[in-house]
Amino acid sequence: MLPAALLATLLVFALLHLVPGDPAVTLAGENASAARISEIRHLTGLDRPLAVQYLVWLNGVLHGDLSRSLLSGMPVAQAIAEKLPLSLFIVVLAMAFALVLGVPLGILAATHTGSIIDGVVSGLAALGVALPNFWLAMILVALFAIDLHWLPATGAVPLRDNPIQALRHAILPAMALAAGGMAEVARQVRGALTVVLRAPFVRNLHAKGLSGAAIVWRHGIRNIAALLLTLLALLFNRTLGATVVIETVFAIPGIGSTMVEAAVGKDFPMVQGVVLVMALLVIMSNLLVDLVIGWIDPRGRRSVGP
Amino acid sequence: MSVGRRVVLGGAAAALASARLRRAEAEAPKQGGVLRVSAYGDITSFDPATGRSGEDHVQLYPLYDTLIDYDFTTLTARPRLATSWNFIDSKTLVLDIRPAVVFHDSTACDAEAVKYNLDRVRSYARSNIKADVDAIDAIETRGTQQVVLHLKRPDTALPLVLSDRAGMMVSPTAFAKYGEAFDRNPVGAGAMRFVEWRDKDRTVYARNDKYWQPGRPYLDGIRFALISDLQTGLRSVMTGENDFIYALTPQQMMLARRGRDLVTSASPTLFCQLLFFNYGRGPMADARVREAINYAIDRKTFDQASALDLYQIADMLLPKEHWAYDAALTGRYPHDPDRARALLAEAGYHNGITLDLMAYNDQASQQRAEILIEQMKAGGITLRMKSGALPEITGQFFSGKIGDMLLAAWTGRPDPSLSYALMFGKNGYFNPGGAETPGLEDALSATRVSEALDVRKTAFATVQKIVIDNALCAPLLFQSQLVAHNTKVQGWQPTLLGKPRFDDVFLSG
Amino acid sequence: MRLHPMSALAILWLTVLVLLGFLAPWLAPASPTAQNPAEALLPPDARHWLGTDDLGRDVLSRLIYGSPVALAASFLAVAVAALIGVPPGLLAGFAGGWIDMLIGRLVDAVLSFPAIILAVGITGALGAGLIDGMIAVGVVFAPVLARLARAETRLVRAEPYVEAARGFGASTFYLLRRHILPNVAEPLIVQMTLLLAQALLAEASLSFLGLGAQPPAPSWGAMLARAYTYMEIAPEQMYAPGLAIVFTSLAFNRLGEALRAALDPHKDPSGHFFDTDPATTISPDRRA
Repeated sequence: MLPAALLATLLVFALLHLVPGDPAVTLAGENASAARISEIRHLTGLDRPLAVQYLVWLNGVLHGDLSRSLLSGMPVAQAIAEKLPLSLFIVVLAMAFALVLGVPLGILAATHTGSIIDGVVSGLAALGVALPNFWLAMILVALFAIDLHWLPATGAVPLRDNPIQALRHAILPAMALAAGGMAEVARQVRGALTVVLRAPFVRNLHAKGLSGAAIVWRHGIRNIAALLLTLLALLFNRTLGATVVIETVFAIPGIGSTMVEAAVGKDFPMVQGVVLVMALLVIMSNLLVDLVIGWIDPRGRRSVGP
Repeated sequence: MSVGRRVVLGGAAAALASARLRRAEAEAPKQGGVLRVSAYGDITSFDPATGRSGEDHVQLYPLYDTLIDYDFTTLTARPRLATSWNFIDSKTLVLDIRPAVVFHDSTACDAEAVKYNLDRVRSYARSNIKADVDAIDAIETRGTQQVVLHLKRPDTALPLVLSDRAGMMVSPTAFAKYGEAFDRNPVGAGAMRFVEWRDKDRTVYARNDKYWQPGRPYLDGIRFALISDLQTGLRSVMTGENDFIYALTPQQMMLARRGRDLVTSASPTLFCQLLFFNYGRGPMADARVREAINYAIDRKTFDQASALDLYQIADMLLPKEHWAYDAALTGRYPHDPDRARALLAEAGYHNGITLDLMAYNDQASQQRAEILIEQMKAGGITLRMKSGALPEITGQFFSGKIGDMLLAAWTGRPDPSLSYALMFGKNGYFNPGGAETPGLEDALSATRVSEALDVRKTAFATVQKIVIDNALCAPLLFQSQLVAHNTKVQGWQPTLLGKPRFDDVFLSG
Repeated sequence: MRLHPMSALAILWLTVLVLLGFLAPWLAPASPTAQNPAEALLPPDARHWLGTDDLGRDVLSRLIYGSPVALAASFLAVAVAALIGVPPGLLAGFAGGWIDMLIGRLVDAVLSFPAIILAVGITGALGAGLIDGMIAVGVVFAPVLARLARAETRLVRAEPYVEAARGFGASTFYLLRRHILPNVAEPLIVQMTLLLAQALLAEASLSFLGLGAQPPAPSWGAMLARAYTYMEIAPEQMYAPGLAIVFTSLAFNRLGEALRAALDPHKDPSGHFFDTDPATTISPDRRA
């Protein structure tokens, strides 16, 4: 788990060094001079061989130190601790929206295959996947923030500072992020449930006189729980990534915008710290899902492909 | 002028807003309240010596009083922590320090502290402003309230330099205590003391009860909401989450003028949009090509299209409000595409020329670039555009690696000699080609010899003439400081430097 | 095979876009780059059907000229993804062992952090611009195709005729080209069609961040970015480019579905409109 995440940081480290630009130039400020820049390169250790720079960083990580931002001087761990919760809150809320809307829609479609309801759900699902989320965000802002003044258009409030304000600020970005996930969930639930509902054991249940709703809830959902969980892990990864653009639209000081800003400013310690934590999060979420699935479905019927 | 329905609407609202402004000015200053400012982005460092952006000042000014101040409208020097100063000869500057001033941590801000500060700026390894005070050879204290600066060479730019970062006094005790961490733990002698900074979120200041100026500050505190997107910031002021926003774009200004209960203000600044040239190589080394570019630009239309006529056309690097502005130098490059083509032909480019334009990837820069691309077509100049994030593009262009010109801006310096040396001096960092312009170095040194403003003004006219005649850059527009605030905010005054200050601000109601 | 009416509509839309690309100079009412500051941000009227943008350019004309940009960008990105992703995927699936391990790890590492962030990073390395941006997107999508190619190859590898050919001493390259590739091509083609939609959205996102198409080239994403700047003043600016992106991305997805149905008619015949997203397609392991 840690090795895969570290591999990711190595890739990013290499990638950032391919990129032209030098944090020393930024650090030298408005009255920069060539001499001042090389002085800064020396002060910050940027003049050392790349391998050494990476190993120094790695050594720090193994000792629990993510070092400091080159640009703001803030400890990277502290920056992540402040930014990540804001993004996670939006991501979690978005996934909740996706589930709350997606599962019922999927069930509706699966229990009414071929009907108008199925068609509408299909259409919604197709649309959800095809919408650029930042465009949806713009429309939501235009409608709910600028025209109706129902919700704030921008910024974020930490959950522990003021839960109500935090929620109000998170609703629009979460909605913008949720569309794709909602479509995905509806589609997968419908697909899998259709198969389950056609299975012979379901016909037996019908014969035993169980109502359709009871069958869906008691047997159908249990059968697709593993699939849903796997889907959630994938959605988590994707939604976390999508926060980059959404955080720009809503001016949220989250992990995505921090990452992009750091990447653009060549703030190596910050970028690597964020990548490490993000990769760990994604890997951990996968692991957690595997564990839960193993627990609810010991035969390991789940299959993910391709 | 007609720029479509929306602008006309904006004009009407502007008249209304200025009426409101006049009424507001009548009110007497009042104590109390926290001013909420939408600031676009983090400060680069709270240590004036290690910071690196002109955008930092808005957050530095409340914390740090400078030795010398600048007049808001003309940018001439005036007293602050130094009650007076005097060149007893061309290489000796004597400063009298205001008595009974203390830093936020109660350390005395006396001659010893001033010496400590100036030495720190000169010797601290992380100091980015060593060049500003390079002329200082030694610093001597006389008693507790007088400091004598012995100079290596005449430098009459120093007083105004001491109104900038170099003159911002930090507490010696605090700096000794925090070291590098002073970047995030500032202690000065300004009207506000530091409370907290949450990156990309907010900066909070509280009133300095020990401030030397009686009755000041009016405010109990200032809270900067760090919102990097101006549109978003403006929205926050319109919805009442913040009180004040600065550095609006002209388009946002139009919107702000339509906002209910918003006061807007547009004031001239030194902030100059321009095309930097790499005149050290290729076709750009030919002055005729650079002149052709200047002739091909229609600055009036550029102002209209990109700035809705809210900015000032730039003929040189100083706006007409500045003390060193010389009206005789205006109008050297009127819009004349035929002249541009003729000059290109003369330089051997009979079928026009293709040049590389670098620009930043924000929407405003992209829009400006699009206008220039279209205008230059008529002058026979095809621009190939390459855009990217600011640090990348800046690094690539000023290192001299790529690009014939860069669409960017110059934020201005309190003393103009700094600007010219950095941009056109042989070793200036912003002269990517490193080319030397005949006569320029001598003309530059001449600006620092006399203390008399009229003598310096003549010296600057010579420098500016050399820059203009050689077409070393293409100045475009001086940005106006476009500000919007709600009616609670009173007493705000713009500065020609364009960096907002809240010295006299109070909140009504 | 009967063509689903939605598929017909999708194909029609894509055909129109291609035609618009070729016929833009004759069809567009105005030049996409001609500026007129005096007519900035006009609402739609008889002369400018979709109004004008911030520099007084005709929005409809920019939209029309933007269609080849959008199509070319999508195809370029997917071509790059296929070029980079498919060969290692085939090799990993076929060779197994440590090669499989290595490629698998690499694919996992790339997929473990968010695509758009990676794309932004790579654009940094390559420089902004439509072509560079799309190469970046292609690189990001490559692991998706690699993973699919690997999975499909593993299935085909076990087929008796491949085993037999291997027994006769056929070379790896020969086997891959002659037996594996033709048999894994169909799912790959379906996947690539679906990726076109993703590439289009990625192009829009990158252009929105100012890292895609360079001005004055009309790109739908860049148009949206500009519209965002003027959202309060001229909200109508954001609808047309956004809808163009949505319709095109819907059409690509639909085309992918139609292809899947045509190439693999046995699979879940009821699943119309479903299973369109490449990155997360989860299906009952149909061949297990």
